[in-house]
Amino acid sequence: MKLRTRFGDLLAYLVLGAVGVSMLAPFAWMIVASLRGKAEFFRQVGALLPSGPHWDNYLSAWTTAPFGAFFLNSVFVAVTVTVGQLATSSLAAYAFARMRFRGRDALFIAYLSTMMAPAQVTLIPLFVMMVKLHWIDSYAALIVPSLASAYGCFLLRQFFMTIPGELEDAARIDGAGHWGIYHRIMLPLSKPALAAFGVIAFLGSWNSFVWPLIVINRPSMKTLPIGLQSLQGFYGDANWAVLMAGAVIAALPMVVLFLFAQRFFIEGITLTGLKE
Amino acid sequence: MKRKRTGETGRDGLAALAFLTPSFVGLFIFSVIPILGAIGISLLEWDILSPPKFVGFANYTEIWRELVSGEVLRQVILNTLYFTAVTVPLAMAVSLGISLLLNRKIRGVAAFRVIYFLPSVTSIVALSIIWRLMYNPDYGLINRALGAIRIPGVANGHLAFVPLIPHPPAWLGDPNWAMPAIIIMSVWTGIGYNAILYLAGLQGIGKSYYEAARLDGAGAWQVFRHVTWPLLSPTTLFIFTMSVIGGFQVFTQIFMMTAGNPRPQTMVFVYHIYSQAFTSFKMGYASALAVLLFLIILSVTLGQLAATKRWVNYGN
Repeated sequence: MKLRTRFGDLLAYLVLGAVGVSMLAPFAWMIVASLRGKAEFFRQVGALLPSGPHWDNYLSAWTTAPFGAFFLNSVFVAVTVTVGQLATSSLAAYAFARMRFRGRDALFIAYLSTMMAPAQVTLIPLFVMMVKLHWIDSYAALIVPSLASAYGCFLLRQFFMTIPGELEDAARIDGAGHWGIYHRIMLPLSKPALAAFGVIAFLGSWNSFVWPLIVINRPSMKTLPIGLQSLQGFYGDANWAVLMAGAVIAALPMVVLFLFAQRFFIEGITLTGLKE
Repeated sequence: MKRKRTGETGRDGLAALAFLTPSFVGLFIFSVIPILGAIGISLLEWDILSPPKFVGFANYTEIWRELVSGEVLRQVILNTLYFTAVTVPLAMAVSLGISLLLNRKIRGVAAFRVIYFLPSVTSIVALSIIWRLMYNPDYGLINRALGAIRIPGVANGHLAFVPLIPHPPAWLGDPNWAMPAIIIMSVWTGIGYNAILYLAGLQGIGKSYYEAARLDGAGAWQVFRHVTWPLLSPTTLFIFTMSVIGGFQVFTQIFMMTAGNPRPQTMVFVYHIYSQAFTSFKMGYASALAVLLFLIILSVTLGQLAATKRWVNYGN
Protein backbone atom coordinates (compact mmCIF):
# COMPACT_ATOMS: atom_id res chain seq x y z
CA MET A 1 0.00 0.00 0.00
CA LYS A 2 2.73 2.39 1.08
CA LEU A 3 4.82 1.50 -1.97
CA ARG A 4 1.84 1.93 -4.24
CA THR A 5 1.23 5.44 -2.88
CA ARG A 6 4.89 6.32 -3.42
CA PHE A 7 4.73 5.05 -6.97
CA GLY A 8 1.53 7.01 -7.52
CA ASP A 9 3.14 10.17 -6.19
CA LEU A 10 6.11 9.70 -8.50
CA LEU A 11 3.81 9.25 -11.45
CA ALA A 12 1.84 12.34 -10.41
CA TYR A 13 5.05 14.38 -10.28
CA LEU A 14 6.08 13.14 -13.71
CA VAL A 15 2.75 14.06 -15.32
CA LEU A 16 2.42 17.37 -13.46
CA GLY A 17 6.00 18.20 -14.37
CA ALA A 18 5.54 17.39 -18.04
CA VAL A 19 2.37 19.48 -18.28
CA GLY A 20 4.09 22.21 -16.24
CA VAL A 21 6.92 22.35 -18.76
CA SER A 22 4.43 22.68 -21.61
CA MET A 23 2.70 25.49 -19.71
CA LEU A 24 5.93 27.37 -19.12
CA ALA A 25 7.60 26.72 -22.48
CA PRO A 26 5.65 29.39 -24.42
CA PHE A 27 6.52 31.98 -21.76
CA ALA A 28 10.19 30.98 -21.78
CA TRP A 29 10.12 31.10 -25.57
CA MET A 30 8.61 34.59 -25.46
CA ILE A 31 11.44 35.86 -23.25
CA VAL A 32 14.17 34.13 -25.25
CA ALA A 33 12.70 35.34 -28.52
CA SER A 34 12.46 38.90 -27.22
CA LEU A 35 16.23 38.95 -26.73
CA ARG A 36 17.26 37.66 -30.12
CA GLY A 37 18.86 39.77 -32.82
CA LYS A 38 16.76 40.52 -35.89
CA ALA A 39 18.97 38.56 -38.29
CA GLU A 40 19.22 35.66 -35.85
CA PHE A 41 15.50 35.28 -35.95
CA PHE A 42 15.14 34.19 -39.50
CA ARG A 43 17.84 31.54 -39.28
CA GLN A 44 16.02 28.26 -39.43
CA VAL A 45 18.69 26.10 -37.85
CA GLY A 46 21.09 26.67 -35.02
CA ALA A 47 20.84 27.52 -31.40
CA LEU A 48 17.56 28.55 -29.82
CA LEU A 49 19.28 30.88 -27.39
CA PRO A 50 20.21 34.37 -28.53
CA SER A 51 23.89 35.10 -29.20
CA GLY A 52 23.77 37.98 -26.77
CA PRO A 53 20.82 39.56 -25.04
CA HIS A 54 19.50 42.24 -27.37
CA TRP A 55 17.91 44.50 -24.79
CA ASP A 56 17.49 47.12 -27.50
CA ASN A 57 14.40 45.19 -28.66
CA TYR A 58 12.67 46.44 -25.52
CA LEU A 59 13.74 49.99 -26.28
CA SER A 60 12.40 49.62 -29.83
CA ALA A 61 9.06 48.30 -28.59
CA TRP A 62 8.82 51.06 -26.00
CA THR A 63 9.58 53.80 -28.54
CA THR A 64 7.43 52.37 -31.36
CA ALA A 65 4.35 52.25 -29.16
CA PRO A 66 3.69 54.42 -26.09
CA PHE A 67 3.69 51.54 -23.61
CA GLY A 68 3.95 53.93 -20.67
CA ALA A 69 0.64 55.52 -21.67
CA PHE A 70 -0.91 52.08 -22.36
CA PHE A 71 0.08 50.96 -18.88
CA LEU A 72 -1.28 54.05 -17.13
CA ASN A 73 -4.52 53.84 -19.12
CA SER A 74 -4.93 50.19 -18.17
CA VAL A 75 -4.26 50.91 -14.50
CA PHE A 76 -6.64 53.87 -14.40
CA VAL A 77 -9.46 52.07 -16.21
CA ALA A 78 -9.13 48.77 -14.33
CA VAL A 79 -8.90 50.42 -10.90
CA THR A 80 -11.87 52.72 -11.55
CA VAL A 81 -14.01 49.92 -12.97
CA THR A 82 -13.13 47.63 -10.05
CA VAL A 83 -13.88 50.23 -7.38
CA GLY A 84 -17.08 51.19 -9.20
CA GLN A 85 -18.30 47.62 -9.51
CA LEU A 86 -17.48 46.89 -5.86
CA ALA A 87 -19.39 49.97 -4.72
CA THR A 88 -22.50 49.60 -6.90
CA SER A 89 -22.66 45.82 -6.45
CA SER A 90 -22.23 45.77 -2.68
CA LEU A 91 -24.91 48.44 -2.24
CA ALA A 92 -27.39 46.54 -4.37
CA ALA A 93 -26.39 43.25 -2.75
CA TYR A 94 -27.14 44.71 0.66
CA ALA A 95 -30.56 45.85 -0.48
CA PHE A 96 -31.38 42.43 -1.92
CA ALA A 97 -30.02 40.53 1.08
CA ARG A 98 -31.22 42.65 3.98
CA MET A 99 -34.01 45.05 3.01
CA ARG A 100 -37.72 44.53 2.65
CA PHE A 101 -39.42 46.35 -0.18
CA ARG A 102 -42.09 45.63 -2.72
CA GLY A 103 -40.94 43.83 -5.86
CA ARG A 104 -37.58 42.84 -4.41
CA ASP A 105 -37.47 39.29 -5.73
CA ALA A 106 -38.80 40.24 -9.15
CA LEU A 107 -36.18 42.98 -9.42
CA PHE A 108 -33.45 40.54 -8.40
CA ILE A 109 -34.50 38.14 -11.14
CA ALA A 110 -34.50 41.05 -13.59
CA TYR A 111 -30.90 41.80 -12.54
CA LEU A 112 -29.92 38.17 -13.07
CA SER A 113 -31.56 38.01 -16.46
CA THR A 114 -29.30 40.78 -17.81
CA MET A 115 -26.41 38.32 -17.33
CA MET A 116 -27.93 36.01 -19.94
CA ALA A 117 -27.05 38.34 -22.79
CA PRO A 118 -23.55 37.77 -24.18
CA ALA A 119 -21.34 40.84 -24.62
CA GLN A 120 -21.62 40.57 -28.41
CA VAL A 121 -25.33 41.39 -28.27
CA THR A 122 -24.84 44.73 -26.56
CA LEU A 123 -21.70 45.58 -28.54
CA ILE A 124 -23.27 47.30 -31.56
CA PRO A 125 -25.93 49.33 -29.68
CA LEU A 126 -23.32 50.39 -27.11
CA PHE A 127 -20.99 51.45 -29.89
CA VAL A 128 -23.77 53.52 -31.44
CA MET A 129 -24.44 55.03 -28.01
CA MET A 130 -20.77 55.99 -27.62
CA VAL A 131 -20.77 57.61 -31.06
CA LYS A 132 -23.90 59.64 -30.22
CA LEU A 133 -22.45 60.69 -26.85
CA HIS A 134 -19.14 61.66 -28.53
CA TRP A 135 -17.39 59.29 -26.14
CA ILE A 136 -15.21 57.59 -28.77
CA ASP A 137 -11.56 57.87 -27.69
CA SER A 138 -12.43 58.76 -24.11
CA TYR A 139 -12.00 57.24 -20.68
CA ALA A 140 -15.76 57.54 -20.24
CA ALA A 141 -16.29 54.95 -22.98
CA LEU A 142 -13.82 52.58 -21.35
CA ILE A 143 -15.17 53.01 -17.83
CA VAL A 144 -18.80 54.14 -17.54
CA PRO A 145 -20.56 51.20 -19.29
CA SER A 146 -18.77 48.80 -16.91
CA LEU A 147 -19.49 50.50 -13.59
CA ALA A 148 -22.38 48.20 -12.68
CA SER A 149 -22.19 44.41 -12.67
CA ALA A 150 -25.21 42.15 -12.28
CA TYR A 151 -22.80 39.34 -11.58
CA GLY A 152 -21.23 41.29 -8.73
CA CYS A 153 -24.66 42.05 -7.23
CA PHE A 154 -25.53 38.36 -7.37
CA LEU A 155 -22.24 37.14 -5.95
CA LEU A 156 -22.13 39.58 -3.05
CA ARG A 157 -25.81 39.06 -2.24
CA GLN A 158 -25.17 35.33 -1.91
CA PHE A 159 -22.31 36.09 0.46
CA PHE A 160 -24.25 38.65 2.51
CA MET A 161 -27.02 36.07 3.00
CA THR A 162 -24.57 33.79 4.81
CA ILE A 163 -23.67 36.44 7.41
CA PRO A 164 -25.68 35.86 10.62
CA GLY A 165 -28.02 38.66 11.64
CA GLU A 166 -27.13 38.90 15.37
CA LEU A 167 -24.47 41.54 14.91
CA GLU A 168 -26.89 43.73 13.02
CA ASP A 169 -29.52 43.38 15.70
CA ALA A 170 -27.00 44.64 18.24
CA ALA A 171 -26.04 47.54 16.00
CA ARG A 172 -29.67 48.39 15.41
CA ILE A 173 -30.25 48.58 19.15
CA ASP A 174 -27.33 51.02 19.26
CA GLY A 175 -29.24 53.13 16.74
CA ALA A 176 -27.46 52.19 13.52
CA GLY A 177 -29.43 52.56 10.28
CA HIS A 178 -28.99 50.63 7.04
CA TRP A 179 -26.03 52.73 5.97
CA GLY A 180 -24.28 52.13 9.27
CA ILE A 181 -24.91 48.39 9.14
CA TYR A 182 -23.78 48.27 5.50
CA HIS A 183 -20.45 49.99 5.94
CA ARG A 184 -19.60 49.13 9.55
CA ILE A 185 -20.73 45.50 9.67
CA MET A 186 -21.42 44.03 6.23
CA LEU A 187 -18.41 45.37 4.35
CA PRO A 188 -15.80 44.47 7.01
CA LEU A 189 -17.26 40.98 7.41
CA SER A 190 -17.29 40.45 3.64
CA LYS A 191 -13.65 41.25 2.96
CA PRO A 192 -12.86 37.81 1.48
CA ALA A 193 -15.79 37.99 -0.94
CA LEU A 194 -15.05 41.62 -1.84
CA ALA A 195 -11.39 40.76 -2.47
CA ALA A 196 -12.33 37.75 -4.58
CA PHE A 197 -14.84 39.62 -6.70
CA GLY A 198 -12.48 42.62 -6.90
CA VAL A 199 -9.73 40.44 -8.36
CA ILE A 200 -12.10 38.98 -10.95
CA ALA A 201 -13.41 42.44 -11.89
CA PHE A 202 -9.88 43.83 -12.14
CA LEU A 203 -8.64 40.92 -14.24
CA GLY A 204 -11.63 41.19 -16.54
CA SER A 205 -11.17 44.89 -17.08
CA TRP A 206 -7.39 44.65 -17.45
CA ASN A 207 -7.53 41.99 -20.16
CA SER A 208 -10.63 43.36 -21.87
CA PHE A 209 -10.05 43.46 -25.63
CA VAL A 210 -13.06 43.79 -27.91
CA TRP A 211 -14.63 46.85 -26.31
CA PRO A 212 -11.46 49.01 -26.23
CA LEU A 213 -10.67 47.80 -29.75
CA ILE A 214 -13.94 49.28 -30.97
CA VAL A 215 -14.15 52.54 -29.02
CA ILE A 216 -10.48 53.60 -29.00
CA ASN A 217 -8.49 54.69 -32.03
CA ARG A 218 -6.09 57.30 -30.65
CA PRO A 219 -2.77 55.63 -29.65
CA SER A 220 -2.40 57.68 -26.45
CA MET A 221 -5.80 56.39 -25.23
CA LYS A 222 -5.11 52.70 -25.78
CA THR A 223 -4.93 50.10 -23.03
CA LEU A 224 -2.21 47.43 -22.97
CA PRO A 225 -4.07 44.69 -24.91
CA ILE A 226 -5.07 46.89 -27.83
CA GLY A 227 -1.75 48.73 -27.65
CA LEU A 228 0.01 45.41 -28.09
CA GLN A 229 -2.39 44.54 -30.89
CA SER A 230 -1.43 47.73 -32.71
CA LEU A 231 2.24 46.77 -32.34
CA GLN A 232 1.48 43.50 -34.13
CA GLY A 233 -0.32 45.52 -36.78
CA PHE A 234 2.78 47.67 -37.14
CA TYR A 235 5.40 44.93 -37.34
CA GLY A 236 3.41 41.97 -38.66
CA ASP A 237 5.99 39.28 -39.33
CA ALA A 238 8.80 41.74 -39.99
CA ASN A 239 10.31 42.07 -36.53
CA TRP A 240 9.33 39.27 -34.23
CA ALA A 241 11.88 40.10 -31.56
CA VAL A 242 10.44 43.56 -30.91
CA LEU A 243 6.93 42.14 -30.99
CA MET A 244 7.93 39.58 -28.34
CA ALA A 245 9.50 42.34 -26.25
CA GLY A 246 6.17 44.18 -26.47
CA ALA A 247 4.33 41.03 -25.38
CA VAL A 248 6.65 40.74 -22.36
CA ILE A 249 6.07 44.38 -21.43
CA ALA A 250 2.30 43.97 -21.77
CA ALA A 251 2.07 40.68 -19.88
CA LEU A 252 4.51 41.44 -17.07
CA PRO A 253 2.43 43.70 -14.75
CA MET A 254 -0.40 41.20 -14.33
CA VAL A 255 1.96 38.23 -13.95
CA VAL A 256 3.85 40.06 -11.19
CA LEU A 257 0.60 41.03 -9.48
CA PHE A 258 -0.58 37.43 -9.72
CA LEU A 259 2.62 36.05 -8.19
CA PHE A 260 2.27 38.41 -5.22
CA ALA A 261 -1.47 38.04 -4.71
CA GLN A 262 -2.09 34.52 -6.04
CA ARG A 263 -4.15 33.52 -3.01
CA PHE A 264 -6.76 36.14 -3.91
CA PHE A 265 -6.76 35.09 -7.56
CA ILE A 266 -7.33 31.44 -6.70
CA GLU A 267 -9.99 32.33 -4.13
CA GLY A 268 -11.69 34.62 -6.61
CA ILE A 269 -11.87 31.90 -9.25
CA THR A 270 -13.05 29.32 -6.74
CA LEU A 271 -15.74 31.60 -5.36
CA THR A 272 -17.03 32.78 -8.71
CA GLY A 273 -16.96 29.24 -10.04
CA LEU A 274 -18.83 27.61 -7.22
CA LYS A 275 -21.43 30.16 -6.19
CA GLU A 276 -23.24 29.39 -9.33
CA MET B 1 -31.49 29.45 6.50
CA LYS B 2 -32.45 33.07 6.55
CA ARG B 3 -34.60 34.23 9.39
CA LYS B 4 -37.85 35.93 8.64
CA ARG B 5 -37.69 39.48 9.88
CA THR B 6 -41.34 39.96 10.50
CA GLY B 7 -40.75 41.83 13.74
CA GLU B 8 -39.04 44.73 12.00
CA THR B 9 -40.87 48.01 11.89
CA GLY B 10 -41.77 49.56 8.61
CA ARG B 11 -40.56 48.94 5.09
CA ASP B 12 -37.26 49.95 3.58
CA GLY B 13 -38.60 51.36 0.34
CA LEU B 14 -36.80 54.70 0.32
CA ALA B 15 -33.51 53.35 1.65
CA ALA B 16 -33.65 50.49 -0.86
CA LEU B 17 -34.13 53.03 -3.64
CA ALA B 18 -30.93 54.78 -2.59
CA PHE B 19 -28.97 51.52 -2.37
CA LEU B 20 -30.22 50.22 -5.71
CA THR B 21 -30.11 53.35 -7.86
CA PRO B 22 -26.40 53.23 -8.86
CA SER B 23 -26.48 49.64 -10.09
CA PHE B 24 -29.95 50.00 -11.57
CA VAL B 25 -29.04 53.06 -13.64
CA GLY B 26 -25.85 51.38 -14.86
CA LEU B 27 -27.53 48.12 -15.81
CA PHE B 28 -30.56 49.77 -17.35
CA ILE B 29 -28.64 52.18 -19.58
CA PHE B 30 -25.74 49.90 -20.50
CA SER B 31 -27.39 46.46 -20.51
CA VAL B 32 -31.17 46.58 -20.85
CA ILE B 33 -31.37 49.38 -23.41
CA PRO B 34 -28.58 47.87 -25.57
CA ILE B 35 -30.24 44.42 -25.49
CA LEU B 36 -33.50 45.95 -26.71
CA GLY B 37 -31.45 48.13 -29.05
CA ALA B 38 -29.84 45.07 -30.63
CA ILE B 39 -33.27 43.66 -31.43
CA GLY B 40 -34.31 47.06 -32.83
CA ILE B 41 -31.20 47.48 -34.97
CA SER B 42 -31.60 43.93 -36.29
CA LEU B 43 -34.75 45.17 -38.05
CA LEU B 44 -32.83 47.89 -39.88
CA GLU B 45 -30.56 48.28 -42.81
CA TRP B 46 -27.98 50.68 -41.45
CA ASP B 47 -24.33 51.60 -41.99
CA ILE B 48 -24.29 54.17 -39.11
CA LEU B 49 -23.35 57.03 -41.47
CA SER B 50 -26.54 57.26 -43.52
CA PRO B 51 -30.05 57.22 -42.03
CA PRO B 52 -31.35 53.75 -41.08
CA LYS B 53 -33.98 52.01 -43.18
CA PHE B 54 -36.58 49.76 -41.59
CA VAL B 55 -36.56 46.39 -43.31
CA GLY B 56 -38.58 44.21 -40.94
CA PHE B 57 -37.29 40.67 -40.70
CA ALA B 58 -35.24 40.90 -43.89
CA ASN B 59 -31.96 40.38 -42.02
CA TYR B 60 -33.31 37.21 -40.43
CA THR B 61 -34.62 35.83 -43.71
CA GLU B 62 -31.21 36.61 -45.20
CA ILE B 63 -29.56 34.59 -42.40
CA TRP B 64 -31.97 31.75 -43.08
CA ARG B 65 -31.31 31.91 -46.81
CA GLU B 66 -27.54 31.76 -46.27
CA LEU B 67 -27.88 28.84 -43.90
CA VAL B 68 -30.01 26.88 -46.34
CA SER B 69 -28.01 27.69 -49.46
CA GLY B 70 -24.72 26.81 -47.79
CA GLU B 71 -23.01 30.16 -48.11
CA VAL B 72 -20.25 31.42 -45.86
CA LEU B 73 -22.50 31.70 -42.81
CA ARG B 74 -23.10 27.96 -42.74
CA GLN B 75 -19.36 27.36 -42.85
CA VAL B 76 -18.92 29.91 -40.05
CA ILE B 77 -21.38 28.05 -37.84
CA LEU B 78 -19.82 24.67 -38.65
CA ASN B 79 -16.38 26.09 -37.78
CA THR B 80 -17.71 27.38 -34.47
CA LEU B 81 -19.26 24.00 -33.68
CA TYR B 82 -16.00 22.27 -34.66
CA PHE B 83 -14.00 24.54 -32.36
CA THR B 84 -16.42 24.08 -29.45
CA ALA B 85 -16.97 20.35 -29.89
CA VAL B 86 -13.24 19.60 -29.82
CA THR B 87 -11.97 22.26 -27.39
CA VAL B 88 -14.51 21.74 -24.60
CA PRO B 89 -14.16 17.96 -23.98
CA LEU B 90 -10.39 18.11 -24.49
CA ALA B 91 -9.89 21.01 -22.06
CA MET B 92 -12.23 19.42 -19.52
CA ALA B 93 -10.54 16.02 -19.64
CA VAL B 94 -7.04 17.48 -19.28
CA SER B 95 -8.01 19.81 -16.44
CA LEU B 96 -9.89 17.06 -14.60
CA GLY B 97 -6.80 14.85 -14.83
CA ILE B 98 -4.57 17.67 -13.62
CA SER B 99 -6.87 18.49 -10.71
CA LEU B 100 -6.98 14.83 -9.61
CA LEU B 101 -3.18 14.88 -9.47
CA LEU B 102 -3.10 18.25 -7.72
CA ASN B 103 -5.55 16.89 -5.17
CA ARG B 104 -3.05 14.26 -3.99
CA LYS B 105 -1.34 15.25 -0.80
CA ILE B 106 2.06 15.82 -2.39
CA ARG B 107 4.51 18.63 -1.89
CA GLY B 108 4.89 21.47 -4.33
CA VAL B 109 1.24 21.51 -5.38
CA ALA B 110 1.09 25.27 -4.85
CA ALA B 111 3.91 25.83 -7.34
CA PHE B 112 2.18 23.73 -10.00
CA ARG B 113 -1.05 25.59 -9.39
CA VAL B 114 0.71 28.91 -10.02
CA ILE B 115 2.35 27.63 -13.20
CA TYR B 116 -0.87 26.23 -14.65
CA PHE B 117 -2.76 29.38 -13.84
CA LEU B 118 -0.25 31.70 -15.50
CA PRO B 119 -2.00 31.72 -18.93
CA SER B 120 -5.30 32.62 -17.26
CA VAL B 121 -3.97 35.93 -15.98
CA THR B 122 -2.07 36.80 -19.14
CA SER B 123 -3.77 38.88 -21.80
CA ILE B 124 -4.94 36.63 -24.61
CA VAL B 125 -3.47 39.20 -26.99
CA ALA B 126 0.03 38.49 -25.65
CA LEU B 127 -0.64 34.73 -25.68
CA SER B 128 -1.84 34.94 -29.28
CA ILE B 129 1.33 36.72 -30.35
CA ILE B 130 3.49 34.08 -28.61
CA TRP B 131 1.57 31.22 -30.20
CA ARG B 132 1.55 32.81 -33.62
CA LEU B 133 5.33 32.77 -33.49
CA MET B 134 5.43 29.26 -32.03
CA TYR B 135 3.34 28.07 -34.97
CA ASN B 136 5.58 29.76 -37.53
CA PRO B 137 6.41 26.93 -39.94
CA ASP B 138 10.06 27.95 -40.44
CA TYR B 139 11.37 29.28 -37.16
CA GLY B 140 8.61 28.54 -34.65
CA LEU B 141 9.29 26.47 -31.56
CA ILE B 142 6.83 23.73 -32.48
CA ASN B 143 8.25 22.81 -35.87
CA ARG B 144 11.77 23.14 -34.49
CA ALA B 145 10.87 20.64 -31.78
CA LEU B 146 9.19 18.32 -34.29
CA GLY B 147 12.23 18.56 -36.54
CA ALA B 148 14.49 17.60 -33.66
CA ILE B 149 12.78 14.23 -33.24
CA ARG B 150 14.94 11.96 -35.35
CA ILE B 151 14.91 8.25 -36.03
CA PRO B 152 17.42 6.02 -37.82
CA GLY B 153 16.72 5.86 -41.53
CA VAL B 154 18.21 6.31 -44.96
CA ALA B 155 19.19 9.71 -46.34
CA ASN B 156 21.06 10.10 -49.65
CA GLY B 157 21.73 6.39 -49.72
CA HIS B 158 23.41 6.39 -46.30
CA LEU B 159 22.22 5.30 -42.90
CA ALA B 160 21.48 8.43 -40.90
CA PHE B 161 19.16 9.95 -38.37
CA VAL B 162 16.27 11.41 -40.30
CA PRO B 163 13.37 13.51 -38.98
CA LEU B 164 10.39 11.48 -37.85
CA ILE B 165 8.14 14.09 -39.43
CA PRO B 166 9.93 15.35 -42.55
CA HIS B 167 7.20 17.78 -43.55
CA PRO B 168 5.58 19.27 -40.46
CA PRO B 169 2.39 21.25 -41.10
CA ALA B 170 2.38 24.97 -41.75
CA TRP B 171 -0.13 25.24 -38.88
CA LEU B 172 -1.91 28.60 -39.13
CA GLY B 173 -1.23 28.76 -42.86
CA ASP B 174 -2.55 25.27 -43.58
CA PRO B 175 -6.33 24.97 -44.20
CA ASN B 176 -6.43 21.61 -42.41
CA TRP B 177 -4.28 22.59 -39.47
CA ALA B 178 -5.30 26.19 -38.76
CA MET B 179 -8.31 25.29 -36.64
CA PRO B 180 -6.54 22.48 -34.75
CA ALA B 181 -3.76 24.98 -34.02
CA ILE B 182 -6.26 27.45 -32.58
CA ILE B 183 -7.83 24.61 -30.59
CA ILE B 184 -4.50 23.48 -29.10
CA MET B 185 -3.71 27.05 -28.05
CA SER B 186 -7.19 27.52 -26.55
CA VAL B 187 -7.03 24.27 -24.57
CA TRP B 188 -3.61 25.27 -23.26
CA THR B 189 -4.97 28.67 -22.23
CA GLY B 190 -7.93 27.30 -20.30
CA ILE B 191 -6.39 24.33 -18.45
CA GLY B 192 -5.41 26.22 -15.30
CA TYR B 193 -8.73 27.98 -14.84
CA ASN B 194 -10.76 24.78 -15.21
CA ALA B 195 -8.33 22.80 -13.04
CA ILE B 196 -8.78 25.32 -10.21
CA LEU B 197 -12.55 24.93 -10.46
CA TYR B 198 -12.27 21.14 -10.51
CA LEU B 199 -9.86 21.21 -7.58
CA ALA B 200 -12.37 23.23 -5.54
CA GLY B 201 -15.04 20.69 -6.47
CA LEU B 202 -12.81 17.78 -5.43
CA GLN B 203 -12.00 19.39 -2.11
CA GLY B 204 -15.70 19.79 -1.45
CA ILE B 205 -16.27 16.02 -1.51
CA GLY B 206 -16.49 14.65 2.03
CA LYS B 207 -13.76 12.25 3.14
CA SER B 208 -16.37 9.85 4.50
CA TYR B 209 -17.40 8.87 0.96
CA TYR B 210 -13.86 7.76 0.17
CA GLU B 211 -13.47 5.94 3.46
CA ALA B 212 -16.70 4.06 2.88
CA ALA B 213 -15.59 3.12 -0.63
CA ARG B 214 -12.21 1.90 0.63
CA LEU B 215 -13.90 -0.21 3.29
CA ASP B 216 -15.93 -1.83 0.53
CA GLY B 217 -12.62 -2.69 -1.14
CA ALA B 218 -13.02 -0.38 -4.14
CA GLY B 219 -9.97 0.20 -6.34
CA ALA B 220 -8.79 3.58 -7.60
CA TRP B 221 -10.82 3.38 -10.79
CA GLN B 222 -13.97 2.24 -8.98
CA VAL B 223 -13.58 5.06 -6.47
CA PHE B 224 -13.34 7.54 -9.30
CA ARG B 225 -16.21 6.00 -11.24
CA HIS B 226 -18.64 5.63 -8.35
CA VAL B 227 -17.64 8.35 -5.89
CA THR B 228 -15.60 11.17 -7.43
CA TRP B 229 -17.27 11.46 -10.83
CA PRO B 230 -20.92 11.50 -9.62
CA LEU B 231 -20.17 13.84 -6.70
CA LEU B 232 -18.25 16.12 -9.04
CA SER B 233 -21.20 16.44 -11.42
CA PRO B 234 -22.24 19.98 -10.34
CA THR B 235 -18.72 21.22 -11.08
CA THR B 236 -18.58 19.29 -14.35
CA LEU B 237 -21.89 20.68 -15.51
CA PHE B 238 -20.91 24.21 -14.55
CA ILE B 239 -17.56 24.03 -16.36
CA PHE B 240 -19.20 22.37 -19.35
CA THR B 241 -21.85 25.07 -19.68
CA MET B 242 -19.41 27.94 -19.24
CA SER B 243 -16.98 26.34 -21.71
CA VAL B 244 -19.64 25.76 -24.37
CA ILE B 245 -20.81 29.37 -24.02
CA GLY B 246 -17.17 30.50 -24.16
CA GLY B 247 -16.61 28.30 -27.22
CA PHE B 248 -19.43 29.97 -29.14
CA GLN B 249 -17.91 33.34 -28.23
CA VAL B 250 -14.30 32.63 -29.21
CA PHE B 251 -12.87 35.75 -30.86
CA THR B 252 -9.63 37.27 -29.67
CA GLN B 253 -7.22 34.47 -30.59
CA ILE B 254 -8.86 34.22 -34.02
CA PHE B 255 -8.64 37.98 -34.50
CA MET B 256 -4.98 38.03 -33.46
CA MET B 257 -3.69 34.82 -35.01
CA THR B 258 -5.53 34.15 -38.26
CA ALA B 259 -8.15 36.86 -38.89
CA GLY B 260 -10.34 34.07 -40.24
CA ASN B 261 -7.66 32.82 -42.65
CA PRO B 262 -7.06 30.61 -44.46
CA ARG B 263 -10.59 31.51 -45.42
CA PRO B 264 -13.00 30.33 -44.40
CA GLN B 265 -11.35 27.70 -42.19
CA THR B 266 -11.07 29.77 -39.02
CA MET B 267 -14.01 32.11 -39.52
CA VAL B 268 -16.06 31.76 -36.36
CA PHE B 269 -19.39 33.24 -35.34
CA VAL B 270 -18.24 36.25 -33.31
CA TYR B 271 -15.48 37.07 -35.78
CA HIS B 272 -18.16 37.08 -38.49
CA ILE B 273 -20.35 39.43 -36.40
CA TYR B 274 -17.36 41.69 -35.80
CA SER B 275 -16.33 41.93 -39.43
CA GLN B 276 -19.90 42.39 -40.66
CA ALA B 277 -20.41 45.23 -38.16
CA PHE B 278 -17.08 47.00 -38.05
CA THR B 279 -15.50 46.36 -41.44
CA SER B 280 -18.57 46.01 -43.67
CA PHE B 281 -20.71 48.33 -41.50
CA LYS B 282 -23.77 46.13 -41.91
CA MET B 283 -25.10 46.96 -38.46
CA GLY B 284 -28.58 45.51 -38.99
CA TYR B 285 -27.37 42.18 -40.35
CA ALA B 286 -24.66 41.92 -37.66
CA SER B 287 -27.22 42.66 -34.94
CA ALA B 288 -29.48 39.92 -36.27
CA LEU B 289 -26.51 37.54 -36.02
CA ALA B 290 -25.89 38.73 -32.46
CA VAL B 291 -29.52 38.10 -31.55
CA LEU B 292 -29.17 34.60 -33.01
CA LEU B 293 -26.07 34.06 -30.84
CA PHE B 294 -28.08 35.28 -27.85
CA LEU B 295 -30.76 32.67 -28.56
CA ILE B 296 -28.17 29.90 -28.93
CA ILE B 297 -26.50 30.82 -25.63
CA LEU B 298 -29.87 31.18 -23.92
CA SER B 299 -30.84 27.67 -24.96
CA VAL B 300 -27.52 26.32 -23.66
CA THR B 301 -28.19 28.03 -20.31
CA LEU B 302 -31.74 26.72 -20.14
CA GLY B 303 -30.44 23.29 -21.08
CA GLN B 304 -28.05 23.50 -18.16
CA LEU B 305 -30.88 24.37 -15.78
CA ALA B 306 -32.90 21.39 -17.01
CA ALA B 307 -29.89 19.09 -16.77
CA THR B 308 -29.14 20.28 -13.25
CA LYS B 309 -32.55 19.06 -12.12
CA ARG B 310 -32.28 15.69 -13.84
CA TRP B 311 -28.71 14.62 -13.81
CA VAL B 312 -26.65 16.42 -11.22
CA ASN B 313 -25.99 14.62 -7.98
CA TYR B 314 -25.59 17.03 -5.11
CA GLY B 315 -24.62 14.21 -2.78
CA ASN B 316 -27.60 14.33 -0.49
